[in-house]
Amino acid sequence: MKAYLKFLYRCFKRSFVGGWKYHLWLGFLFVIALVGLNAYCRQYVYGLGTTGMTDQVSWGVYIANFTFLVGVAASAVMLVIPVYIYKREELHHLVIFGELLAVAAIIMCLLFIVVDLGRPDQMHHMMLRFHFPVSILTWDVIALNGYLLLNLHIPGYLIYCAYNKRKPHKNFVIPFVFIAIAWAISIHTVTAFLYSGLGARPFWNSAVIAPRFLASAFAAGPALLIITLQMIRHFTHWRVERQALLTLRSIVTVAMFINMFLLGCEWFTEFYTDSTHVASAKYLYLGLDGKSALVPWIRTSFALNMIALMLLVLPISRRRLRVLNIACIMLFIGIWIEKGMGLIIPGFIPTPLGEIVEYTPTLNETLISLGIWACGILIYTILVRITVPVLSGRLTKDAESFDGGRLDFAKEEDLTAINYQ
Amino acid sequence: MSKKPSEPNYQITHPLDRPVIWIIALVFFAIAAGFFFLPTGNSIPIPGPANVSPADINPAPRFKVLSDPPKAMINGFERTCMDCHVIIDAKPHSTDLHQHANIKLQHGLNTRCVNCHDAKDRNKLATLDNKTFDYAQASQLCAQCHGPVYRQWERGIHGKTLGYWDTKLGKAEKLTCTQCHNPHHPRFDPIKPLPGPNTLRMGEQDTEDTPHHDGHKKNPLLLPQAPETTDSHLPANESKH
Amino acid sequence: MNQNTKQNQESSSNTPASVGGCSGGSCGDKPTRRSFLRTSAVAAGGLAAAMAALKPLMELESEDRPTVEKFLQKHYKEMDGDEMQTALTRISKEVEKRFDQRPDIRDIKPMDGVEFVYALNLTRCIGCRKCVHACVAENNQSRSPEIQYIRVLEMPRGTTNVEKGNHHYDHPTVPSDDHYYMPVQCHQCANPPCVKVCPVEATWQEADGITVIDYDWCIGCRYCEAACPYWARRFNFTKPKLPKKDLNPKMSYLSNRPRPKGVVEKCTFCLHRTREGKMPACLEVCPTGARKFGNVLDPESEVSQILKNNRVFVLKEEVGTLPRFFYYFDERYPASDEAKADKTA
Repeated sequence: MKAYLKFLYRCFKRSFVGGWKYHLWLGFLFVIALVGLNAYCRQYVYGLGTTGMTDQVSWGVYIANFTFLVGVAASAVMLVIPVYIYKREELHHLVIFGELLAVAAIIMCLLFIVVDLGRPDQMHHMMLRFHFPVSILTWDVIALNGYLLLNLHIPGYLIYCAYNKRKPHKNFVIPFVFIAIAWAISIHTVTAFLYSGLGARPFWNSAVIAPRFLASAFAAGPALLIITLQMIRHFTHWRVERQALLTLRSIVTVAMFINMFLLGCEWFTEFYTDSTHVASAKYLYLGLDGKSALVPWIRTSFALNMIALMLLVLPISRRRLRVLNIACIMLFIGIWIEKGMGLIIPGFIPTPLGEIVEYTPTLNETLISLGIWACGILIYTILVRITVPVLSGRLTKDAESFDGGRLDFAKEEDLTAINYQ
Repeated sequence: MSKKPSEPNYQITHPLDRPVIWIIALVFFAIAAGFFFLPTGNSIPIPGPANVSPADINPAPRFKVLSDPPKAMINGFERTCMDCHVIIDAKPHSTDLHQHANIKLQHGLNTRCVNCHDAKDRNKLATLDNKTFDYAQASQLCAQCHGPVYRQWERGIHGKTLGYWDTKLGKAEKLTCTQCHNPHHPRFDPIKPLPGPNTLRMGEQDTEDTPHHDGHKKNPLLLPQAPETTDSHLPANESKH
Repeated sequence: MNQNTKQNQESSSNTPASVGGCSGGSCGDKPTRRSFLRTSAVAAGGLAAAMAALKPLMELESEDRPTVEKFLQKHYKEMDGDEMQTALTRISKEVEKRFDQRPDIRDIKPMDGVEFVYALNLTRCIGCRKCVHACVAENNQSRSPEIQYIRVLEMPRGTTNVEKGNHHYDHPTVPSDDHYYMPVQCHQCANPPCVKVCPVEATWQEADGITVIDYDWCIGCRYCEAACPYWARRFNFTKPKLPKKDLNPKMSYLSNRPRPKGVVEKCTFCLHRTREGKMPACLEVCPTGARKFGNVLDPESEVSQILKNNRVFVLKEEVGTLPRFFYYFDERYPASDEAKADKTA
């Protein structure tokens, strides 16, 4: 126990060590997170009226971001599946970054849920009278927290083993990895069921929501992973093979094709049927009776997705990683719009009584969302900052490295030069 | 000191490392000051309350039940109908009035006073088969023509019941025909509606006065393909038949 | 590089001096005085910024602050008589403090052998919106921003599709000849989707069919709002504002007591009235008698008669919510014919 606390303390200490760029980055994220905290305090005092939400559109960017991030979290398994099921070894030492990404994403999800609550001070009622299994929201609570624990356990255990210079025991890893794979699929399915189970909202009340959630998540998540792995490769000495990125690239491409196919299915069903239930889709894609706030967004998203898909399919993104990066960023933004604004908000427009009230996030609401994103990125940055030296053997139980972590990200050959002075 | 290492090509300490820390600390303090001194408060565009007076939502019945015989204050004295009509004779077939000029009889085919008022005893009402009734029993007069509605009223389907739905706990006050309808003009006059919703961030609402691009009055909630033409012309077509 | 005196002191440790130049706060095993200063400055700055970020919390009104008493209050169904009494006393005190009026607040239970049903005569409704505002007055809803349980839709003839209704009609007089009017409020469904989705059971259906909310239990997730096909639920996005003079002091725990901000509320068929045998406020104010209310288990009640004798329908039957709110039309001559008769007369 004491040893573990010492490990945590060393990790904590180490997380603040770095060059000026690193400090600037941490400082920047911290400031954004604080601005978000400040905005949240304002919301807590004055109520959710400080957001753009109304009785007509009762969920906004918070739930939109939540939905999107559940997908990001779920897609961590897209690194795990190739490694543990298809034995693709080039990804093996990258799995942990996927899982850490899941941790950061789930924490953001939980924060987005908390800031969306009208009475966060009564959140403990969830424990006292848990409406399980009737309410799908309770399923989601279990799914998300369970997934968080799984993803804290697997990398946590691996990192602690590396710190202790122990070989991880198989039984403490492999079963959990397989549970995590199933769990990842379930978190996104359950989140989709939150929406698709509502008969009141025809836009969501469709069986294709869950598969589309998964498909888009398995495109956006690995796209984000590619970007983060590129960052890790750029800012640390950690080895990220080209082949690993290309494996992820093919996952993104396939998932995106499935996503586009399901989108087409949805379009056909909605627009060919042309029943009264098409109103929301019409609002989203074409505008309804002069109200069309979401149309430019969804069209941008569609364009980004199509261009990204094209870049991904073309061999150029295999040859030049820069193109792959651009494609991934476009895809990430495209799906963020599509899964966030494009899925949640049109579900409320028009209302079940046919009223059309549009929704625009307020400044305060945007600041809170940015704050949560900053918080999540901060967490991920620190997690990666700690993981890399531990896994590369520079932070172990025996000693902190001679330089206090300054050289954690130095290249091997430079280190040899220094060590043998 | 041992010999200096050959300058590693990996930058160990950057000249910016220390100033940046100070700058970050400064920024933190600046942010703290900003949070502390910048005005807070909320900017929620809360719409004002609706303008509704208690009289607008008074649940009292529209008309009082007349006493039997009905009384009216004339020149400071309380009179019944027969106080005058004992000398003023009735014109059984008359439709226009000299005295009760304020009464406009708009009751469909029912155009004569004595269809309901007893020609002899003006303190009473009379059915077409000359049975007399008190004013309190006015509904019996209505029932002669409005049979189906009367039966519905008997069952509580038509009309309004105030008081208690549970008669064990209190009296149900079933309003009679003339407590809601003016017998001389049974159709309800159109009234001014109370203000419409003005909820939080409801957005700009198109009112009836905003003309639609194709010249029609715009209904903000109609779907683009809504069959506007059939809707708006339906009553017009009906009246042509 | 950076071989200043302080770092030379450090060289006694096993840290090679050549690598010196600590930039991070806590780098190296032995922080130098200057690095300690830097660390403290950053830590103090960060802490100050974090504390200052919480400043808006100082504006929280005292009655909105979480208290131990509120924190420990049990779920409505778990409270025994004494605990309910404690809760009522607390609420009563809060109301008195805020409105200078001691309310008559009780916890009114459903009656045995009663299932409430509402019926609304669409032929008679003239769209005057009196019910909307009588409801607001009775149930202590927020006046600004407006929270209203009833929406009156102006419907074009030839459809019962609510999406074609107009919520914001503003004629000099109603009814308009080309329309009929359809007020919508909570339908007190027998299969309520809002109850199903609530993660904390803050809303449930009572024995008499009324779906209620424990405002002290609701966490404000608004899932029920998303689930309701009749758009019958309202959320307190701000602290509800109710002028002191407008308070209705006769209130009950589950219906019209003043709500805190951040919780959902809805029509309860005025249960503080109806569970004592009275009529709901919206019915009493209706100038045309379009609204009918009663116990459907009593075959002689008005609503039973209507269900038996009239051709009633429910809204959005396809969503399977089994509403206890029925609409019907009178069987009679069209209004235009009557108007013609009036003119010829």
